Amino acid sequence: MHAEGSKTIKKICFDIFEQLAFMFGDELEKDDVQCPEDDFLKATMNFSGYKNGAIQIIIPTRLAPALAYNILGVDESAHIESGIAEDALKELLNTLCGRMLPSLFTDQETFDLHPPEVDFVSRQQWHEFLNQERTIAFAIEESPILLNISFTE
Amino acid sequence: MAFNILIIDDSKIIRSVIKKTLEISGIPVGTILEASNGLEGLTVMRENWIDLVFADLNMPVMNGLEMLDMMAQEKLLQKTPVLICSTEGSKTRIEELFKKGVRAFIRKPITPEILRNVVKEVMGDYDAR
Repeated sequence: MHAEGSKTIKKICFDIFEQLAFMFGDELEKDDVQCPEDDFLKATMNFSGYKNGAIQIIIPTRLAPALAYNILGVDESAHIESGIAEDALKELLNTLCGRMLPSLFTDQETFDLHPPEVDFVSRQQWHEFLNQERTIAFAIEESPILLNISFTE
Repeated sequence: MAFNILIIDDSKIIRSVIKKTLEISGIPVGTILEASNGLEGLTVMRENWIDLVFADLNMPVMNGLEMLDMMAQEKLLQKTPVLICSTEGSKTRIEELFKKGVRAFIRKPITPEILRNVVKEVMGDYDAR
């Protein structure tokens, strides 16, 4: 990911985390990312149309319920239904994808966004993802977030 | 007069957010019904009187565009106001939505202020009723 594209993506991520979930972001260099003592969730959204590819995001698992509470605007003591935390991550990725593609290309072209999927990832998979050249990193509420956009022909 | 509203989105959390936003926005709300895709939404519309539909575009089983095409073929559903609430960023596709009769488009993430203003624009000045 070249510097300008990376800057655009981070700006969109910060804006969406703030607007959707009232969570605030900070810059984080990939070399400075520490693997947290945590499990991780990876959300993937494939897209097709003007360009084909996928956007993937990895967050620490504990961030997903916080994301859900904030999106719903409820206190952390409130009961939330099972699956809502995963749903929050999917919606976050959906919103990110919808904002990024027109910003990176053109808002005159159309993209079809496919339903997002969520998986657990291991620490080893997290490191492999971090080390991919096109992965960018940033922090949300002091937690490291990894994001990657890939394109296929 | 209170509006019966149908929210169609595959994301449960977004249905909850729209529902909560409607309830606090000052919009006179009657019954709020939910569906998780366009096909379910059509079933709810055929079985209930709906004043306004909030629909997402990207959904499994039947997406929002396919649902709009089906609504256009059914006399009883043709005039039901539809408001699209989506992350869609393509101007071309948004123009296509309006050509299909969509009354308004809200780009996610939604805020109570935007939602209230758009509903007011679509349904008229309900404060005066």
